Amino acid sequence: MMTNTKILIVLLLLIIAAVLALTVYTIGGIVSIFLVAMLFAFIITPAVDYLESHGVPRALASTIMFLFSLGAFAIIVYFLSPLVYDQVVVLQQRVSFGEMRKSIPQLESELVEYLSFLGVRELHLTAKIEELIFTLFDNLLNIASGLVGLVIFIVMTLISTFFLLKDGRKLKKSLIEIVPNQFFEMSMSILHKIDWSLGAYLRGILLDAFVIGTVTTFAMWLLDVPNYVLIGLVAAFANLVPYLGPPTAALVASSISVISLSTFAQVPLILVTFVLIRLLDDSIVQPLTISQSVKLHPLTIIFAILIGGQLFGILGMLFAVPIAGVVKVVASEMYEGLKRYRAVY
Amino acid sequence: MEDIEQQDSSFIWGNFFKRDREKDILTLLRNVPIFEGLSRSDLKAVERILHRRKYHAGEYIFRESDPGLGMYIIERGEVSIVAESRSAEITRLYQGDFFGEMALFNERPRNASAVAYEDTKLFGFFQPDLFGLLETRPRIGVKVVAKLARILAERLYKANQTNARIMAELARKDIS
Repeated sequence: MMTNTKILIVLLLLIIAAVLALTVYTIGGIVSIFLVAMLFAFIITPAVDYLESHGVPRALASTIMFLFSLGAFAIIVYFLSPLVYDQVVVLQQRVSFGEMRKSIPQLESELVEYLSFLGVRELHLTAKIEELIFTLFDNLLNIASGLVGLVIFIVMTLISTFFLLKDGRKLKKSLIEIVPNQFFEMSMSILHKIDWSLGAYLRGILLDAFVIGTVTTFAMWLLDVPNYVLIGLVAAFANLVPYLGPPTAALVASSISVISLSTFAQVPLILVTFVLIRLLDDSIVQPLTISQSVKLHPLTIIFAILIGGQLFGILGMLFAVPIAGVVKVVASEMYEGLKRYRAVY
Repeated sequence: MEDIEQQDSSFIWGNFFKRDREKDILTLLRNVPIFEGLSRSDLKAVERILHRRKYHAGEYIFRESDPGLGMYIIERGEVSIVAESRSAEITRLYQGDFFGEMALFNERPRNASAVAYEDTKLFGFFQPDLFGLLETRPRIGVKVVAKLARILAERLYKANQTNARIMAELARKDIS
């Protein structure tokens, strides 16, 4: 039978979960600023600790690493954005100046020929692609109208990141201070383990995405696929979504190749390359970067993506799996901690 | 304990008393064997990571067989170390004493409970703090670990001596 303390703990956890869910639902935007800032702080903190271990005061170390990260990001954007921009413009010109429209009938006949064994005679590709492009540009316009909000989001996130880097430890200590004596050591142990596992998990998935993005860019460049930088970026982001992400990236790469070159010639090679990259990721990169303990069940992944999509659209789908991973890390560390202190059995 | 809180609330004198209190804390820490030999600035760095906790008389600080996370230093008050299995007090600790230091190295279950004998103020120093100190201020961290190792080695030496004495006595009884 559960003792009063255990009932209290379970009730407390349920209340915390309900308050968190309500907070995310009502002030999701503000919470997301804090969450993104926490993510950045998690990634940069080891570097700040390193500087501090060499005698640099915490505030100065945080400032240096913050400016360094910002500078590195600006340099990447500075060098990558013209490349990506040029590639997008070329792609856009092909789409909007009717070049693609001219090549669609040819592509359609190629496809019909490929699929003739299925009895396919007509695909109505022109109408379907026009509808797709219309929806896509409509979405892009929506994104542009949210640009002011985006700037505020970025500025607030940067400020929060800096303070989390500088005063993260103090904040954690203040948080621990308000815990009643009865749960103090237990909370501290759980918080520390969550902190450690979460940092490792987040750094792991980002490193994995970075490696896969770089390898994909390089492979596409070797294969002479147009827009290779854009494809690499898509592959890096898509890698955050297991199972569905990599095939989506392969589809995007194939589509870009077909649109740019008006032929399916490169598609088989692109698909084979993506399969090889997938194998490389599963057998070498992921075991080195991501702890196996946070592997999610395929069903969990599907539901996480569906819920993410329902709540926050495409971005929600993209970040659903990492967030599910975070929830799993937090929940399992809490459960293990509660078990160690015999608060649950 | 209360007088410190009253001093804190005084706006004019707060700063002077704060400095006095800081001096008191640094003196207290300097006398704790694991922080012996640390400079004033090192002690200040250690003090920043310690957790100050208040316990009422009779309140448990930790219970026997709970996983241990770290040690406590008594700032004010008295702490009773109790063996729950025998319902007996093993020892009573006072201002400046410390307990639970074994847990800094492993999370083995505590082998006794610690209970505040009167209203007590403690400083908690825990494994994550020690590891954090080793990562961010290795020079201080190494000094603390070296002191801890010396204390534990001393205790092991004494335990071995006691063990040898008991074994010798048992052997003598066997022969006789």
